[in-house]
Amino acid sequence: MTRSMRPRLGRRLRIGETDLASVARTPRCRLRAIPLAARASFITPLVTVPKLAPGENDLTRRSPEAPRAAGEMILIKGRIVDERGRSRAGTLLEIWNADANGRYDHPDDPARVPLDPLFAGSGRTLTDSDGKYEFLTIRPAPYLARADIDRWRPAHIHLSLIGPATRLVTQMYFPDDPLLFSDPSFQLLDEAKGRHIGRAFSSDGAEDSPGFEFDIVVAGARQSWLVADP
Amino acid sequence: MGPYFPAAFARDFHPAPLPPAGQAGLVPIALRGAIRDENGLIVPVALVESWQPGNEGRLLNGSRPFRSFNREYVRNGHFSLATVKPRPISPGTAGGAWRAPHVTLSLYCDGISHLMTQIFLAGEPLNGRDPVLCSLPSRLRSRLIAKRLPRSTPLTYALDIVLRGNKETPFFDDQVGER
Repeated sequence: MTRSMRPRLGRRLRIGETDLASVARTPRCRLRAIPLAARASFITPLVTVPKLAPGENDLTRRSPEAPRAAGEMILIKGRIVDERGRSRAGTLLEIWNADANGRYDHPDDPARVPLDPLFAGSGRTLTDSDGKYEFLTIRPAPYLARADIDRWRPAHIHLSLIGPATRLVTQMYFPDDPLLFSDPSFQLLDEAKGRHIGRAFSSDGAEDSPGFEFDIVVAGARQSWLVADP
Repeated sequence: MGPYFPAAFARDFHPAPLPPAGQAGLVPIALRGAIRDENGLIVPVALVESWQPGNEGRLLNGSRPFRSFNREYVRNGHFSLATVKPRPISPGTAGGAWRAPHVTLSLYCDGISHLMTQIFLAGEPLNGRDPVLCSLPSRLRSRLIAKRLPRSTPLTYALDIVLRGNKETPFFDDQVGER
């Protein structure tokens, strides 16, 4: 076996304690290092981005003419950059979060609280030429992830990124949330924890809705994904 | 990812255009399998995405490039990706090594952050030299080689993805590559 074919191992993924799904689904073996000759094949290819309708980044109502959902309206904005601070333009963001009662608009959500029919629950947008994005959504409530041990997940927003050489699914948490300390998913982020908390800002917009800034760095030493060198 | 990925997002991202059989030498195939946990139980909900570098960007009739990125939102633990048969990649585009035909697979589901691997096809002569397969101990290579289902239409390959435990699928580190 030549040196270049000697097996090399990557990270060992850790299990989120009290997360039953994680216990049964986290690989026991360490991840394998991608051989150099195969690196390019693991990078997301050019993806044709779907055409977005007006208001797709507004989760507070199901359409621009519809009434707004209940709860605290918040603006989520940020910038997607690579490790050198270069903008990631043309990146598709898909986001989703629970409503003001902590209920997801999903047939599998067993939560007993009623669903807010006015809340869109999910939305999409594209980053502009500066890599910037923004969404309007309802601040989610925590939800009961395990009723048997009274484990609640902290309020969070899911974000999925698809872009040139970019594929990442992450979550934004809220500052000063006491539930963060006991959340397995959040604690597993280790030194990346701080980067997953939105930064509160006060809006100067007419509607005076608060907001949170959430920048995402893709690739590099702080990467969550491989990026093709230009 | 959590268990409540919106079904609305499943509507986009399929290989386009999917050519009729034989066009530009591309053969429609299906790649099927089940996703299982440590206990052999089906993982019901998952976001399975794939692409194949070997055919990416190939010009079809009308000079439209083939886009291989595919998304399937799995609701019953069984994925079935409609795509074309992957092609080998010559060293020129792969940085120095022949690549056997393969599909790159990206997986999100509740309980894991993100998993990636590549799926190869049974009976392909280049499997014996592929750097990804050869990076694995030989007894594990078959876990990434999909079996061809005889007399299937469209041509169908099958492979289960086992997240943990007995016959665990080898996964690759999307954050740290070989130096």
